[in-house]
Amino acid sequence: MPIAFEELAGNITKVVLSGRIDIAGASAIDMPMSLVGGSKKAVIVDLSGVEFMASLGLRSVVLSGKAVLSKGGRYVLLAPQPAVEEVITTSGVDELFPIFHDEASAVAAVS
Amino acid sequence: MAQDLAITTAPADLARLYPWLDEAAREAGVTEPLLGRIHVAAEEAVMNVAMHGIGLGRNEVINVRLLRENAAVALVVEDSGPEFDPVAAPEVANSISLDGPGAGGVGLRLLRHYCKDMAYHRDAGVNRLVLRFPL
Repeated sequence: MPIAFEELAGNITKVVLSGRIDIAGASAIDMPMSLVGGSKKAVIVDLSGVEFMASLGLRSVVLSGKAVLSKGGRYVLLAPQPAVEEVITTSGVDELFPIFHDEASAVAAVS
Repeated sequence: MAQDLAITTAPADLARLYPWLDEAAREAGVTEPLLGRIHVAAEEAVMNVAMHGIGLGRNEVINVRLLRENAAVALVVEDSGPEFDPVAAPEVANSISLDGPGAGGVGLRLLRHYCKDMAYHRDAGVNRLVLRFPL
């Protein structure tokens, strides 16, 4: 599965995505990401293991993040590889969900 | 030399795009990082047709061709869905809004960033989008 979860101190949920979030990958993460969006208020999406992500994968991340923000929660992105970071910044998604490159900063941002 | 792929909009069929693109690009002499950029643009071009044109899970075919030109590689996407010209589509904002619908035009922004040379033509009910990437 290209998605796993870790519960951190302070009711923070870390979503760990990995591999290729292409058509098959996006299909696999859509439902769990939607559940995260509907149930969590402090979320870190760890992208360090993602090798490829374009509009399909980004859409899943955005919809989940918007659901968290809309109920007053916090949602940040952690450590994307350069090619994935370019997709995120080009799309403007980082203006809604900031990118951090170390976990301590990401935890502080959602705490 | 051109490489061709014909896929329906069934998700399992659409997933054939990526391995086909890897092989076709290798034949055309394309390597990273350009290959990664073509993947982003190709996904958007094909999924735009599948999700907003023909519709997912249909038996209608999207034809995709990759061909080497002199100093470029061209990706051609053809379909018989409703007319849509991504080249002429209105500019989209450079950021997404919390209140806006869905993912807010992310795909079109990506397509325009990753491919600077796009041409669209519709003839006899067929949409033809050509994406050119300099080598």
